[in-house]
Amino acid sequence: MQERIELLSPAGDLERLKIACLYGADAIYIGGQNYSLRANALNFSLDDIKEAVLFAHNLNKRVYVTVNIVFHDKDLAGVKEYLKNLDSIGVDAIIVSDVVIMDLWRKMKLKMELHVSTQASALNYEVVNFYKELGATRVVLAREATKDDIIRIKKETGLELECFVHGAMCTSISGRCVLSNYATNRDSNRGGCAQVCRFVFDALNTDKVFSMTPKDLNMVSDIAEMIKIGVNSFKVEGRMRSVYYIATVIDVYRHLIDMVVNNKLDIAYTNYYLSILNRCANRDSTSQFFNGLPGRNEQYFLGRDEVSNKDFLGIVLDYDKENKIVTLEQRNYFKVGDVVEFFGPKHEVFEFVIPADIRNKDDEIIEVANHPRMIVKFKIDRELEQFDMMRIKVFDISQFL
Amino acid sequence: MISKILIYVSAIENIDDYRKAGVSAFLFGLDGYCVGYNTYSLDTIKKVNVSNKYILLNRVIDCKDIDKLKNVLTQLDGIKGIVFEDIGVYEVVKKMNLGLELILFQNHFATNKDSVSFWLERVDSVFLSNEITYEELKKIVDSVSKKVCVHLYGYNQVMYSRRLLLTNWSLEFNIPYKDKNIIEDKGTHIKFRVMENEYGTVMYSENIFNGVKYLKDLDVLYYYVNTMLIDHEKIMKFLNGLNDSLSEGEDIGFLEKETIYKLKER
Repeated sequence: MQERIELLSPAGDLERLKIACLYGADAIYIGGQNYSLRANALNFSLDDIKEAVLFAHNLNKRVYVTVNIVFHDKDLAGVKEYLKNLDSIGVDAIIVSDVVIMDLWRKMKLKMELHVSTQASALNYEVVNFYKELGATRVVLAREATKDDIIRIKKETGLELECFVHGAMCTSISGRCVLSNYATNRDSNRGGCAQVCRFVFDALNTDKVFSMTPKDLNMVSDIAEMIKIGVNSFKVEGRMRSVYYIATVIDVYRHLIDMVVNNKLDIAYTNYYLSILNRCANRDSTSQFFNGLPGRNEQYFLGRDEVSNKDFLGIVLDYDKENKIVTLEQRNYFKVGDVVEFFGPKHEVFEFVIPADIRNKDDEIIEVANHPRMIVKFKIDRELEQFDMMRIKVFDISQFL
Repeated sequence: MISKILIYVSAIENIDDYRKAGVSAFLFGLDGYCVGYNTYSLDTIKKVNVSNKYILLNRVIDCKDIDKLKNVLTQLDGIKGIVFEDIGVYEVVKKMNLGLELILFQNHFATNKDSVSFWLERVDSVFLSNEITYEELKKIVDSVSKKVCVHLYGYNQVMYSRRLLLTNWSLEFNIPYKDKNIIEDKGTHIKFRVMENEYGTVMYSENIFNGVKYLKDLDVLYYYVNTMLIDHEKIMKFLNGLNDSLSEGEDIGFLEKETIYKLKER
């Protein structure tokens, strides 16, 4: 039987979940308003989760809910009821790190699957077999897993394996860091991480500052190998990321995975997609642990030169097929004559020049779209759909052929 | 209280002093399976002439080293038990039926009575997290079916990375490598003590945790004294006194300070 190959996207709210579904994610992971490691994100109410599941299931996508804090006793109040609700709603799986929730899941005989979070830091087949015996159908491996570890774990357990492919990295092994607790009194294992590992420190007896921030993870160049060795779910980090980031990253990995499966991925497309992702994230990225222990080149030392990205120009709200008029919400400055490109779930990227006749919501002619989230309309012959996106054109595949 | 102390042996030559102070349980880090501790070969540990010897395996272990561990575990004659971090160790020992005492020591994870109870059905004892309050800790101690272990004295481990952060730093700035260092955040002025070996980097807290005042009457299996990075004289002064008062550079950690995790309710 063909093993599952799944592109798994984060979503911090319903809009992002819809974007992720439309742009090609096979499954989306979200956090509820309690018990999730992004405690200060907006997150999903139970009603939101219900709507998310309905939306995703209609598109034949799956929804996973993180219940991945390390629980203190008082946090356990209400958790049984919460799990029961998630199960009734039709959530496909919960992602869990604390054995107390794994035990509850088993005792309550819930229908939804049990996935073990990367917070549990599974790095060998024995620990994965332990979770398998508890009933888990999937383990999210520690980010420190190398290719050899993944191969061995797959061989010895046969379990579905989920690995991160893109996004920010913790400096520490997940769950094994309470720097935040000590520096800010915020509990990192209950979602309060203050990212102390991003701080720049002074060091004793030297004028050289000490920094430990890792570069981002990016598995574009290794995606084919990951599929070959049996990784089932390709997970993108970032429940607090923007709609543009999610659309871009999911769109790229969707194309990559499909090209690998259809044996069509070549070096030109690999480099093209790498360029798009690097520009979108505005951070350096590497494959981190997959090919061995990361060294000095896989981390930052003197802070990051992270300039805010202005590539995202607008999101399509509507397209009038009869008059061929697009209505979009502006996200960054653009003007008449700019060379842009549209990308979206149902069409390939195409180039476009902003026409002379662009109008605001009051149908007044304007030359520049310079107000955040202003409504802009103009004629475009190619048909667009809600949630298509317009960005500055920077790369063209022809540059990489 | 002294008879219930499990002490980390950061130098073999200190053992006699510990024994004279009344300590009778000793923890040794095993070469190849520890981070943030001075470690020893199995031969060296076996040669130490004390009865209650435990070995510490506190790494998150990869596949290659879990394979190797299976061989090591067959050679643990004279060892009373294993104090371990990686659940893979539990799986291996369970299958091998070695008759060793098993104590789970995941620094930050044993924070509620149900999780601790889950583990106590499978192992002999569990180290409680040192980031919970005294109230939370006492509730767990009083409600679980076996005796647990609690931190009593020493720097707390606050971070464990697989990366070689001190090596990378020394290479980047071309400064001499030193496996122990102290770093300070410019904003909060909090300090961390950094240790590295080939298996990763560990950071310890700025202050020494001293829980005697709060924990002395608890019914536990062991009180843990972590001697790493602390002068021998200071350790001996602590063992010979075991009094309630805090010395300079000591604190009570989170025993009276609850951590927060939501900045505001939405």
